[in-house]
Amino acid sequence: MTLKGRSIATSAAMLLGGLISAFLFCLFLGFIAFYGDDGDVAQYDIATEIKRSVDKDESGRPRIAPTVKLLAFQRQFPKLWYMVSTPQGSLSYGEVPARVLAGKDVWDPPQALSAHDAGGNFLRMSRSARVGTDPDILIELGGAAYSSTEVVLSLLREPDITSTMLAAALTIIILTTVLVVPALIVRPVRRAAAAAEEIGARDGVRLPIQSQPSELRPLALAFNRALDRIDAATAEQRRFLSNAAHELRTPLTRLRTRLERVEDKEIKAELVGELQSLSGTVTMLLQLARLTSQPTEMTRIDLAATARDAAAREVPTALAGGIDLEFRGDAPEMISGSVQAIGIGLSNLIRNAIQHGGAGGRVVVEVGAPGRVSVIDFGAGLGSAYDGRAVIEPFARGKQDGSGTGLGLSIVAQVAALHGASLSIDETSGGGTTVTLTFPT
Amino acid sequence: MRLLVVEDDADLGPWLRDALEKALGGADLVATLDEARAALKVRPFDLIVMDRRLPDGDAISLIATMRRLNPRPSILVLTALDDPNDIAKALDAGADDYLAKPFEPVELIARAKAVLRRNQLDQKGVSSVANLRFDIFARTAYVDDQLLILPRRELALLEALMRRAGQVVLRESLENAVYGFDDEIQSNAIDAHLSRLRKRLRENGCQAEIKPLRGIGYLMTDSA
Repeated sequence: MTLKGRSIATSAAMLLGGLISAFLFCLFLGFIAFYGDDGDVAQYDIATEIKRSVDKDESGRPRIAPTVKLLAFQRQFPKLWYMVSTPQGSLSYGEVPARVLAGKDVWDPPQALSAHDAGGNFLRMSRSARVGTDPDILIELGGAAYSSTEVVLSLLREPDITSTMLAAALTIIILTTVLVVPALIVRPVRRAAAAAEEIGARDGVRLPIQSQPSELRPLALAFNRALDRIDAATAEQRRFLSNAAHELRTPLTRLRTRLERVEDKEIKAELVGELQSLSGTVTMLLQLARLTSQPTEMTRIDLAATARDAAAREVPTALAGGIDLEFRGDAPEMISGSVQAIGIGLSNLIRNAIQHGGAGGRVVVEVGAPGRVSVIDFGAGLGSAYDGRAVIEPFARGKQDGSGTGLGLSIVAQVAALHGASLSIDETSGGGTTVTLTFPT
Repeated sequence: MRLLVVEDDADLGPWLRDALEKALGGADLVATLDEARAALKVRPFDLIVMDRRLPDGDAISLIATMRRLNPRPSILVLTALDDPNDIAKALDAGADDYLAKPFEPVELIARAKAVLRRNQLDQKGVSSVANLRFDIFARTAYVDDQLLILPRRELALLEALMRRAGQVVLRESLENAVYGFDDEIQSNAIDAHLSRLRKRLRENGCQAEIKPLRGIGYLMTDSA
């Protein structure tokens, strides 16, 4: 039996049910083997056959036409004897003991359809039996006893109340095991899985160890150790990023303040422009690194509110560039995502639109169902030289005019990938670029 | 106006002090948290501009102390850490605003002024843009010290815009400011009120302008 891909719980339940049934069956067989058959089982079977073979003639005397089975019994048990009596007469087979023959002419049947021994006691471990089959026929027999195997075979052939009950008990036991054992085994596993699911993207949360069953403890411990390593790596990454941010930005700031001392206005403007573009690249690289390296916590958020906040954040940039920034979208649009990540992505899109599509004088941020947000500009467009893929590669740029860093769209692509969103870049009807993110709702 | 610059960088520190002094008035420079604490004990400051990473620790630890001072100084945090979590941490601690390095000198001065204006608004209840002044406590508006008489809803609009002067005010914030729970809001009513308010401001020679941002909201800004 292979456990690969199969439920442990089902296997265990089947195994357990099988074992219990086998055990009970063996116990039953053992019981029979130990006590054997004193004759009651065999004689009950033979009496049944005699009953089928016997009827009464017109005068009321018994008459017999042995069935095949009765004949078989007669061959099987050479010492078999029986005597069938009615008030009118009797017939016999084999060596009927003298004790029975002595009562031959006395009509004295048992009062019920039950088997009694020759002494009139309820049949139990006797060597002969008296069976009242109907009020008029008395069967007395003896000299037959099954071996252990034959008893079992007989019981299987003709189920009696004992074997029926035994079968019922086995069925109930197997059903109970199959239903109960998986629940017992599966419940703690499910609980552990639910706890693991709870952990999600949060740091520092671990699976509880004490409440785990001992079998699951090594797994939970290993899981927690893996989380420790991930958290340590994330923390290290975060430390690295903030160090990098500090190490890159401090000299940039220093440089910017020194540029204030440049006398020549033209050179100063040029240098400040270069520095701003460099600072923009640093910011975007850090954003991209952060998005790719850190787990993003997803919650139910309103895309419309997130997009409108991003638009509001970029209003100063738009005003500085002489661009009308407009937001469209009235109804809340609920998606699963990270406000921060989507905000960063949209800010980059809006800044991109202002920078590269500014010629149109306006930029529109539009939210619609289902889970769709577009940033639309009415500028020159990307041109036919670039298909969607090329623009999304880091450092790819629409125009080689030195403005912009070319990182913005790869940040947006990263945000889209984090959310399982699709990113499409189309031409705005009438000229310009429309970038659309469609989030799964 | 007295300013405190907390910055350990040998170039940036003096430059910040000089730039702020030129724009806003007397500024002092310290380089560590310890020195900053000492300076705060000596005299009150209106504005504290500080770097987050200082030789003796994270400047955030100082913000709580500063907020307990009376009068409370405005706090502008400069940070090279622009991780949204870092920014949130600084603002949660009680900083009034943050500015990511590197920044344009103009931006620094503008933010410093905005922070001061907001703090002034909290403490003195006055907000001003160009020649327009709004007294939050008295709920009165002045253009060049001339009292401006406004109907109730236009006054509420102006108050909402002036409380966040220089920042985008979302349309729904304006609706909330103007209408109570029981008022029936007509979709264009805000626009009608705004257009009347704009006209009234213009007629009174006001140089502040309500800049509409379609779908987003409005911005109270200096039209000059």
